[in-house]
Amino acid sequence: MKAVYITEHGGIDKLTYGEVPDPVPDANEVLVRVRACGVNYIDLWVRRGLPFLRIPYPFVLGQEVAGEVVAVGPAVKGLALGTRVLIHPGLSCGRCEACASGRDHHCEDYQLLGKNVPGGYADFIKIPDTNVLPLPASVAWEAAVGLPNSFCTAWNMVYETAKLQPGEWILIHAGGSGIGSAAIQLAKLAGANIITTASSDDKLARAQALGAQHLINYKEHDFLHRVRRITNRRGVDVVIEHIGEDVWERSLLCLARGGRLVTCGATSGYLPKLNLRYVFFRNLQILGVTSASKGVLCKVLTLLEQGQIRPVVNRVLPLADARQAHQLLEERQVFGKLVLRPEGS
Amino acid sequence: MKAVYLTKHGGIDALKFGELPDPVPEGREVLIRVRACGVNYVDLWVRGGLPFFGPTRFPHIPGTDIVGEVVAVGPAVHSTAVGARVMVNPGVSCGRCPFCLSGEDNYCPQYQAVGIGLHGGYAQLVKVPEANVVPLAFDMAWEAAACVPASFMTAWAMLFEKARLQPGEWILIHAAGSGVGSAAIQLARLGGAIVITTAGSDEKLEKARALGAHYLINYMQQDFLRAVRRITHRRGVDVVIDHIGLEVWERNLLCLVPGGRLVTCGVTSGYEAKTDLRHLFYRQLQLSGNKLAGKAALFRVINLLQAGKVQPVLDRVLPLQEAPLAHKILEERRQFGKVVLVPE
Repeated sequence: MKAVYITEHGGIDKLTYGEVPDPVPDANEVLVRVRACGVNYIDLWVRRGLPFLRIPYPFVLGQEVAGEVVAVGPAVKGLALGTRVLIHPGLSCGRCEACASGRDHHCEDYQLLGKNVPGGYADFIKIPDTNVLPLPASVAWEAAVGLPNSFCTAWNMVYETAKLQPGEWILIHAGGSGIGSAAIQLAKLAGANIITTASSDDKLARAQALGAQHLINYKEHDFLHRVRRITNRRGVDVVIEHIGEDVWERSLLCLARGGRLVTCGATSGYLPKLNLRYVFFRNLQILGVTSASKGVLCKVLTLLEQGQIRPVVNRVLPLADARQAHQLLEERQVFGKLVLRPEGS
Repeated sequence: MKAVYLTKHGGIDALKFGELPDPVPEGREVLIRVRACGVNYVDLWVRGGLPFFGPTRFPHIPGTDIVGEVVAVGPAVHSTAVGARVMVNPGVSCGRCPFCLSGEDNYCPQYQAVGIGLHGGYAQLVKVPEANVVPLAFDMAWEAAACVPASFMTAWAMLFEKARLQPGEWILIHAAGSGVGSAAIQLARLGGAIVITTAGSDEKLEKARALGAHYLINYMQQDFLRAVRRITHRRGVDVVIDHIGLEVWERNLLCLVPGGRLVTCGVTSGYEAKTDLRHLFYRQLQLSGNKLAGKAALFRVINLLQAGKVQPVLDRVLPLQEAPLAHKILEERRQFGKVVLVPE
C-alpha cells in the first residue's frame, strides 16, 4: 500500500511517500481502509523525535483516522465489512485500575496511534476492535477526523479538567489551532465568557464566528495587558494553552485567584519558570492533559451529529502532499484542521 | 499589654518582647485574652518578609493560631459574649465578593490572615472581627487547641478540596513532623488512604506511625523517590502533599501515577521549581497551590476533634517571651508537631 513514513527523525524532508507492506489484522483487530487522516502538531513532534520515544521503522504517522472496515480478525464479532468507522487513537491494556475506572488514557501502557504504533498516513491501518466507533452516514470523513485528537483533548481540558462553569471567564490561546478552535466551541456551549488569541485579524474573525467574544492579536498586543483590561483587572478563571514557555508566566498572571491553567503541549519550549509562591498564595491549579478517555469520543460525536459543534477543516490535501501539510502547520499559517486523503478514497 | 512584635523584617533578633497599647474593639470586633498561640512556619516568612506578603505596617504582632477568652466586644457584636472560650478562624475577608459568598473566602482579593497582614496572637490580647470567632464548646486544653487552626485547615483543604483524596488511594505526605504533615497524616488515614510519609529521623517516623502512617521513609538515609517506587511496587502514588518545594519538586512529579495530583502550600527550600511540561501533560499531572482554607474548613476540623477522630500534635509549650527560641526550633526542623506560646 501507499503510505507516508519516516525512517529516521528529523525535518520535513524525512517524510517519504512510498510503498510499505499492507498491515495484516491480528485476531482481535480490524483492517480499515483510510478515507481521511487529520494532521496534528504531535505528528511534527514524532517526526522530529522525543525523549523516550522508540518506534519501529519505517514508521507511519497520523493520529486521527476514519474509514471503512475491509477485513476483521477471527475473534472480532459484530462488525460488518463496509462499516464506516472513526478510530479512537488510544490503545490501553484494558485490565488495569485506570482502564477499569474509565480513565484508559491514564493506563501505564497507553499508546497512541501515529506516535507509538503505526498511524493513518496510509491507504490502510489495523487497529484493535475496541478502538473503532461506528460513524453515521451523515458525518463527512473530513469532519469526523477533527474529533479524536482536537475535540477530545479540548473536551478533557475544558470540561473534565478545568471543570468550566457557565459565566466563568476563559482565555483560550491560539484560537486558530485544532485544540483552540475546538475549545472555543466547547466553552461557548458551556456558557463561558471567551477570550482568545491569534497572530492575525483574519484568524481572529474566524475565531469570533466560532463563539469567541473577545479577541487579542498577540503580534500587536501583550495578551496579559489585554486580558486585564477586558476583565477589568479581575483575571480569568481558566487558561487553555499548548504554547509553553512563551506564554507561561503571563498566563499564570492572567488567572484570578483559584484559577486553573490547563496545558496539553509546549510548542515554544517546555522548561518554563514556575514560581511556587505565586502558585500557592493565589491558590492556582496547573493541570496537564494528554488525549482523553475513549468515552469522550462518543460524546463529541453526538455533539457533531446534533450540529452543536463543527470541526473546522482548513483544507483537504492528497496523502502524497504530507510534507506541505507539515510545512503549513510549522509556519502556523492555518486556521483549523489539515486533512490528508489517500488517493482513490 | 505584653507582646512579641516586629519593628522591621529580619532574622530571629527582629522579634522584640515588650509593651504595646491594648487593642480596643470597635463595631463588630471582639477582644480576646490570648491563652495560647501556635507557631507556624509562615510566622518565619512574616518575620523575614516576602514580596507582596505579610505586614505593611510596623510594629507588627505575628501569630495565626489563637485560642482564648472573650474579654470585651464592640457595640455591634451579637453572637458572642464576654467569658466565651473561643478559637480564632484566621482568615479575614470582605464577606461580600463572589468568592466570599461561594465559601471560598481565602480567594477574596482583600483576604488577610490574623498574624500575617493583621495583628496576631503573640500577645496578651488580640482583637478580631466577630465573624472570625468560633466557640470552643468542649473540653480541651488551651495548648492543645492552639495546635489546630492553620495546620489542620490547610491539610483539610489540600486533601479533600484540592486533591479530592479517595479511600484506597496512595498518598505521599512530606515532612511528618511539620504542622501540616502531622495533620495530613491523620486526615488521610481517616479518609481511608494508604499513607507514606517522610521525616529526617527515625524518632519522628515512629511518632508518624502512631498518628496513622503506614509506610515510613527516613529521607536522610534513603532517596524518597526510590523508596516510594519500592513501597508501591513501581506503581507510584495518587497524591503528593508538599511544602518543601525545590529540593523535592522534580522527584515529587516522578512519584506520581498518570493523572496524579501534587498539592503544595509552601516552600522551605526554594520556589523557582523546574517543571518539565512534557512530563506534566504526557502523564496528565495536576499541580495545585493551596493557601490556608475557607472558613468552613475549621468547622469540619473542630467536629473531628470533638469526636476524637483527630488529635492535636503538641511538640512543646514555651512562655511567650521565648518566641525567638520557637522560631529557631522551626528553622532547624527540630519539632514534631506544634510549638505553642503561652502569655503570662
